Parts: sequence; C-alpha cells; structure tokens
Amino acid sequence: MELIKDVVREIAIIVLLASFLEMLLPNSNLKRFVQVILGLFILISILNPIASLFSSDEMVFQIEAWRYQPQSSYEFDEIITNAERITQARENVAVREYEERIEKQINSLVQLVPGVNFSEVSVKTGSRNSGVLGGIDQVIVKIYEEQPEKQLSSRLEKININEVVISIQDPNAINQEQRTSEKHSMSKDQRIAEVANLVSNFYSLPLGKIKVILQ
Amino acid sequence: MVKISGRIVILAVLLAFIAFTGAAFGDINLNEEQLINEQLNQLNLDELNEFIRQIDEEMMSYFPELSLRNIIENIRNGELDLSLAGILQGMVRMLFKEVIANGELLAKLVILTVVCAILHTLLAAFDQGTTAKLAYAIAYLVLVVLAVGSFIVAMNIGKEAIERMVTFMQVLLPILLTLLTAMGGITTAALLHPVMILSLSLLGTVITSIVLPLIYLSAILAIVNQISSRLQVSRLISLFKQISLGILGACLTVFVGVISIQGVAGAVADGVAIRTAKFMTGAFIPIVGRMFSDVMEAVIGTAILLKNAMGIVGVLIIFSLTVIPAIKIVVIALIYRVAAALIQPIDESGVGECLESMSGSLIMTFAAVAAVGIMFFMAVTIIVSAGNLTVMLR
Repeated sequence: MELIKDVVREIAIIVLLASFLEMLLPNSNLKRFVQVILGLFILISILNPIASLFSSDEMVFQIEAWRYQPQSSYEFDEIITNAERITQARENVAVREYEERIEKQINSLVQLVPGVNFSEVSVKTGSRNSGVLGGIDQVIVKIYEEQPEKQLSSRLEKININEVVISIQDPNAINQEQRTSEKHSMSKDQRIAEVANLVSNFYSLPLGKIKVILQ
Repeated sequence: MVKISGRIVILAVLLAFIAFTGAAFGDINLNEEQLINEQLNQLNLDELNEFIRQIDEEMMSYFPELSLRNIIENIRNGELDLSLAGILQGMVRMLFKEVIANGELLAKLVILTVVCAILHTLLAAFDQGTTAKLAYAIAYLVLVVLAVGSFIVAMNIGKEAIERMVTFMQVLLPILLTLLTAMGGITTAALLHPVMILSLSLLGTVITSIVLPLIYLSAILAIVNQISSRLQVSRLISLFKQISLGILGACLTVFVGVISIQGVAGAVADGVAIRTAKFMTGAFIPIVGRMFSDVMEAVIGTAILLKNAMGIVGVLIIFSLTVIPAIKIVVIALIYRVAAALIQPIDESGVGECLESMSGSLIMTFAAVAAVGIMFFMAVTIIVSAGNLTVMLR
C-alpha cells in the first residue's frame, strides 16, 4: 500500500509542477514538449515501483494472509469449557426435575402396597461422569405403617375440606378393611420385599439398587 | 381373599401406570426464568453489555433502547416489538440533524466554487493572464483543502465503523459459539470457529488497509486530475476504484459462501449426532428413558431461546454500528453532490466534477461499511439458523 501512496504522491507533485510550468512558460510550441516530458515523468513514476518489485530479490508477492495468525482472545477450548459449564447448569436443573418426577411416581406406586400408609422416596440418577446419564443409580424408599405426626399435621394444615357427602356405598371402606386384614397378615420383611420387588419390576431395576427402610 | 387383593394390586398398578405415564410425558413445567438465568450466569457478558451501553448512549434520542434482558423476556412472551416506524423516524431525524450540522460546509463549498467560477471567467476576459490563473489555482486549492478536510473525517468515520464492527464480532462470536456448543452444535462450532476468527480479522485488515486507502487515493487523484487540464490521470482513478470494488465483492462472496456451507454441513452432522444420543437415552434407560429425554429436550429449548435472543441483539447492534456512520458518510457525500449540482450552471473549471468524484468515493466508503455490516449480519444469522437446524433435525 505504501508503494501506491508514493506513486500517488509523485503524480500529484508532477501535476502541480506541470501547472506551474504552464503558467511560467510563454505561449509557444514549447508548451507541448513540456507536457509530453511531464507525461513521461508520470509514466516513469508509475512504472518505477512496479519494476522494482520484479527486480528485488525478496518475494514481495508472497501472500501474508496464508501465514496470518489472528490474536484471538477466545480459544476454542475456552468455548468448549464455557459450553460445558452451561450444559452442566442446565442438566442439573433437568436432572433435579427428572428425579422429583420419579420420586413422585415411586411414592404413589409404593403406597399401593397393603400396609404402607406413607412413604418417602429419594432417587439418585447417574451423572455423565459416573455411569449412564439419567439411569437410576439408587432408590431409597422409607415406608411408614402409620403416617408420622409431623407429616400428618402439615398435610392437615394444607387440606381444608368443608363437607364431603358420599351417597353411594363407600368402596374405600372395603379396601380399608382388606388392608387392615392384610396388614396384620404380612410380616415386616415381606412388606419390605414386596415394595422392593414392585419398584424393581416396575422400573426394571436390579434389587441391589433399591433400599427399603420400614419405619 | 389373597386372590382378590392380588387382582386389586394389579389393577391399581395398571391404573397408576396409565396415570403416571400421562404425568411423565405430559407437560413439563420447568422454571424457564431460573434456567435462563443459570445459563446467562455462566456466560461472560461484560464486554457485550459494555457495547450495548455505548450504543444506547450514542443513539439515545434516535432509536429505542436496547437491553439484553428485555429482549430475552420479549422473545419468551412472543412479543418482540422492533418498532420499524420508530427506527425509520430515528434514522430520518438523524439524517436531518447531520445535514444541518454540515450545512456550513455546503455554504463554504458553494461560495468558494462561485469565486472559482468568477476567476475562471476573468481568466478568459484577460486573455489567459497568469495572475488570474494563479488566483484561480489558489482559490481551487483552498476549496480542495476544505473538501478534503471533511472527506478525511468521513473516511475515518468509515474506518472506525469497520474496526468497531470487527471488535464487536470478536466479542459476540465466542458467546454465540458457546451457546451453539451448549445446545449440541459442537461440530458446527468447531467448523465455524477457525474460519470466522480468521475471516473476521482478515476482512477488517483487508478493508481498512487496502480497500479504504485505495478509495482515498482515487479521490486524491480526482482532485489532482482537475488541476491541470492537459495531464489527465482519470484511468488510474477508475483502475483504483475497480480494484477496491473487486476486493470488496470478492470478500463478500467468499465470506458468505464459506460460512454458509460450513454452517449447514456442521448442523446436519450435529443434528444426526443428537438424534442418535436421544434414541440411545430412550433405549438404554428402561421405562423412564423417555421421560428423561423429554425433560432434557425441554431444558434445551431455553438454550435455543437464549441463542436466538443473543442473535437478535447482535444483529441490532451491527445494524446500529452500520447505520450511524453510514448516515454521516452519506450526508457528506450528499452535500458534495448538492454543491456540484448547484454550481454546474456557472462552473466551467471542473470544480463540480471534482466534488462529484469525491462524493463518488464517499459513496464507495459507505458501500464498504455497508458490505461489512451485511457480512456480519449474515454471519450471525447463519450461526443462529445453524443452531435451529440442529434442533430441527432432532
């Protein structure tokens, strides 16, 4: 670029000189010769740098762009690291939601077992680093024969039913009766085994991953 | 009794399964705001916010305020109101303000050209007298100095605009590529990153150090060309102009072509990879695999939203970075043209031609700024749409 700038500068000087000479010289045929000579000067000023390009030993036409290494403030590794952090943050929220959903499912499922009135479930799923992401790693089920006082009172506070009128024969009464009879008929170990088997069959989980605690 | 209770349990399990699957695969109601904030916190947005603040300061009275959070919120609610009428009004107001600010230049140019024209007439009256010639030359040089002063200012505005756009893209690009990678477009990002970084710096360098100087030099030659009526360099001027236009066109074509091909190729590869991963999750995690892939897909939706919002902010900032200098350059070019048009009836000396040629050079500078703006606009659009394509192929 410097080369072209020099050429333009030279042309400007020559043209200025030409116009001054035009003023200074008398009106004669000489003017034409001066014009031709100055024209030759312009020609030389353009050709001279081009000729010097070819005559120089260095490869001036080597394209610098091929060797161009931009100073990037961000390397690709940094992008990957940041993206992993974002993915991790997002996955944590998703996994928490997913675990809560499975916990609710198991909770409802377990309460169908006769003799289980209340249960607390905690599910741990695999992370990217350990095993299959999203795969169930461990299920801890705490079952209660009677609903704990604390839970009961907190539930009672939330539920506010004014009046329930049921005109038909209440099937729950029959269920309750059955449950009470089964409750007494099943031992604690049997109940634990039934809960574990139910969860294991439902989710195709090995029994080793399921821990049932009767309280 | 045992048989009946067994049946009840089976029935209950079946009912529960139907109920649960409905709950599991049905609506996934995640806290979007929390998710978006968690992801935003992981990004380094300081530099981008600083850019937005600067743009807002410059355009406070002309355009609606820009805010990253507001745009994300608006996109979430599906009510992005860009107010085209407001933007156009702002642009027109800015144009008029610039015209008024540069009115003085127009007046000076016209007065000096009138002086030049009178001196040129005197030159004919005094039988080509040297004194009149000298006076005309001096008046012409004063006019040229005046015109060149504003011309250099306009050229610098163009150069600064391009440099600012390159800097902005260097800030925006890592953020967009990070979000693209975070939503599974790792191949696209890996393909685009080196090309983008290289072409951004190269473009900035080529345009500011080759194209703009060539335009500038062609304008200088156009001025010189009018000094002497006998020594003409008009073909050298058109050569310079053609070279600069050729380089600009080549940059535009190569940049857009390479980026679009790489964007699409990467997006397809990523889409297939994600689809496979999703199938594997569903197939390998028994029973709840589907629920898991559904939850994961729901949270990825927020990443797409974030990426698209970032893309919109990027495009708006590029628009602002292009529009402000473009208006300033166009106004000065317009003033040269108006001055040239006004003086044509009395001008025989070629001053009008010189002004018109300078105006042409400024329009070329405007074209260079606009071309860079369009290139970056397309680059952002391609990155954003490559991400959307990846998701579409899921």
